[in-house]
Amino acid sequence: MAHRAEQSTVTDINKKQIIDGMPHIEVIKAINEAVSSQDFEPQVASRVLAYLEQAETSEFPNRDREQQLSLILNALPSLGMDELPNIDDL
Amino acid sequence: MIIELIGWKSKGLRAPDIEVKLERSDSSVACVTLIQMPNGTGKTTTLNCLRAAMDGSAESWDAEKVKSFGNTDTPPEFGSFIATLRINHSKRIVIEMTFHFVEGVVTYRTTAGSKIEDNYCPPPEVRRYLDPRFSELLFFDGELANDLISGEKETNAGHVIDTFYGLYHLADLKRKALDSFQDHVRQAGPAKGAAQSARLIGRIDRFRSKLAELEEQTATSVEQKKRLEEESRRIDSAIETHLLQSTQFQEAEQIARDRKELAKTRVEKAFHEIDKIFPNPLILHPFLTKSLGELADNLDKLKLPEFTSRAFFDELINEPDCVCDRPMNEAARAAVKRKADLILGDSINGFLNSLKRTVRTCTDYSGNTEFAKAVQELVSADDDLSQSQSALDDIRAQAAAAGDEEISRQRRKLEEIKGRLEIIDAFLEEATRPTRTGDDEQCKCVDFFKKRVKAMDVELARLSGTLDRKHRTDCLISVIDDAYNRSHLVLKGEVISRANEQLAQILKYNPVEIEDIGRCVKLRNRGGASMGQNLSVGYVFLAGLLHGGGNQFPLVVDSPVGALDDIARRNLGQLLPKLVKQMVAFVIPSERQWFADPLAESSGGDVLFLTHLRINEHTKDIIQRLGGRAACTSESGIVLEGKEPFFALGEDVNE
Amino acid sequence: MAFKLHTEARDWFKKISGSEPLNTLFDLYHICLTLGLASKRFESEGDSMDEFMDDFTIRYRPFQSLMIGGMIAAVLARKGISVSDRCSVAQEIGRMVSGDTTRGDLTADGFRELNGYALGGFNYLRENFDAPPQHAVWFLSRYSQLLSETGAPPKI
Repeated sequence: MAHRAEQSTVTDINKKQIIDGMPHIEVIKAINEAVSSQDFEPQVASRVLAYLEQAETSEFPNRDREQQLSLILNALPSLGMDELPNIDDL
Repeated sequence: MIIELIGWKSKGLRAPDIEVKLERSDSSVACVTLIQMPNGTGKTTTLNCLRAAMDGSAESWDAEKVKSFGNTDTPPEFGSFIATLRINHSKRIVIEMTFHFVEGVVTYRTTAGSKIEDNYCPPPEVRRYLDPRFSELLFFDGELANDLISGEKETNAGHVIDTFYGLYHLADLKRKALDSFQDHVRQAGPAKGAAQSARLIGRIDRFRSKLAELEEQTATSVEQKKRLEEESRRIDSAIETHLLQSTQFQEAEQIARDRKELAKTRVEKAFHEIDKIFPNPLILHPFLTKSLGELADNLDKLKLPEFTSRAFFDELINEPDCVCDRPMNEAARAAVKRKADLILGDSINGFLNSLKRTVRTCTDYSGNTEFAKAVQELVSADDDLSQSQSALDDIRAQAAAAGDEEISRQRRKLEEIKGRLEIIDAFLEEATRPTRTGDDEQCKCVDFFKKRVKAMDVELARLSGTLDRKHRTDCLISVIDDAYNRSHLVLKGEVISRANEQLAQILKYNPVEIEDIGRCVKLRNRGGASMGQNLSVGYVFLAGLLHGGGNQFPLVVDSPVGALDDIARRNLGQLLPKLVKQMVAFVIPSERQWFADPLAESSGGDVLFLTHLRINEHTKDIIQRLGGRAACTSESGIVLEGKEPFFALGEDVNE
Repeated sequence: MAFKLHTEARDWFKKISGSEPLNTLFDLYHICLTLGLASKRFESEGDSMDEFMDDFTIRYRPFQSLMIGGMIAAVLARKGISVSDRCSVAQEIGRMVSGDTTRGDLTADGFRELNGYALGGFNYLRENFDAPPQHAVWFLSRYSQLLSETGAPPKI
């Protein structure tokens, strides 16, 4: 499941849509724009879309959701060590 | 995606055992099917079963609920309900529900084409449309369409869009990310301070819950305020119209109103005059003229700005020899630098020259009273406005005292609205202000709770050593929120545009336009539409959504016109066939009048009339008298097809 | 280096801002600054200040030099700098004025001085109003009164 989700690029999703028109093309566009506006890796968008695509089918048990969520989070930038907030500022 | 409801069959339930076929011999389904079911025929049971068959929700019913569907007179061990759908004019899906009354459970079997599954398992391509969140839009009573416009109940029009376009998956992903992070924090075990973490988690949950409640309340209050203000303006206008029609107060009302308009214009003009002179500090504070004049004079006396360019000294420092031919040694350089430091740079000199020029060429404002006079004029105009408003209020009070019931009623309404607005304003003032020292958990300041939740989240992440995970989760949430806002805006625009195109055609004699979709569907320039108009717009909105982009879904409506008067019923009857491709409406005999005939006419006769009755001692004679073709009959129930029995059934039929 | 207003200013003026003549934050700044200069009230910036712009807006550019000139006069008077002390006067002006027209002609010190008078003016307003103003007409009337009560500006 993880491997299959990993391979779901945006282009693949556009081509192979399991569900006709879902996620909606505007949702796909919005996710791509939201990711690129924050300078995140394009992988983030494709992994989020893969999650949504799976959610549409309802054959998406919780274990697989956790796995796909991990993939999404891994693609996002980490908190650099020098960015750790000063505890005194909290 | 085209989904059609082909029919259903029930057996062993509270409702009579019958089969209803909506598919005609040529495989088509009628644009509108009217099913007349007098009270007690099992309408509620049928509707609930239809919905549960489509969305699979019966799997989670408790035993008591399941048993309530059984026939109480002769409770059987099993009951069944079978719904048949057709997808894209070809593929059939049959969803069978078996009620196990003894165990109190419902099991499903799903047949899609040649594939049979012993559970609720619609094919992937239709699953989303049969999801409970979506089926809510397909199964509703006439109240839903009205609620979408009035916004008075829980129905949220914006969420309807989210449901249709699947945007709720974004919210689900966000919820999943947050829950997963919370689980991660709990499982990570605190790096230090277990008790501290536990207390903090409890506190965060409490604050988050309060924040959500306040945000919801704020959104509702803002909408309520807008509606009340519109209503207030509408009433004010109605009072004016009424008074202008009254011979006794017409003249006084007109005079007072004209005076108020003049005063308003005078106030606006006064504000504008102040705005024109406001930026000039010399007009605001005339004494400044003298001060600046003195500054300019002193700058002249001090010979500032320099005639000498600072650049000259800066360059000289780097020369081997001074202008007097003496060599530039360290001491000489230090002396020149000291001198250079006392000389202002060219750009500063430029500023000082500009300042002196401006001061010299400026009008002498000392003693100027322009600002004070402009403010006096504003105060006077404002007083005039207040007095003219008081005069208007007096006329209304007089009219009310003279026994004008209409005015009294309207004034009472206005007072009530004013009272409600004051409460809402007080809440909004508290909710929308920035947080300040002294705020605590009892306050209603949204900003306070937002900031505290954020701070506590970070603290918790620090305690549990999950700061990085928190950061990534926050990034994901910002992407989701951004994507939701972008897509919701675009899709909402499309829905509004489509609905307005349809409204322009359908309601051309009484035009109404959708302005925005928030919690409810907001109509442009409408203080308050009638229930009939609201219902029409609500149906147009829903139908536009469900039938946009080549889609088609069956609308199953309970009491489509229940609370409407005759004219509104007629209008809706004419409207509905233009909006829908398949609608199945459950009506009782008293709902036929004014509605069914225009409906039939507007659909070009493409209406299926069905009358469903329970068979008992009381109804046997009635059934014989009705005539018509028996589409289905059993020991406990009958379905008659045709217009004749449909209209012949008396309104006094009841179980 | 920027214009700054007290963090509570936006909220304090909430009911009367957003329309003529107090449309923008700079309008609020101007009203506070003018009163601060008129009342000779300077206060050092603390932590409770919000930056909002780093240059004069188009509406105020024609009067930029007058506002800075007013500040220079006020600072010289406040520091008791003699007008015949060319060196000190030049030094003080050089400290506050940069002549960089993209940054309001002001140095960091210049912004601090101007902001200090705006802060002083805002606090002066708060002391002379029982509560945040609810009605623009009433506010302008009281403001006009306060300005006339402060009398002549400092003599330099």
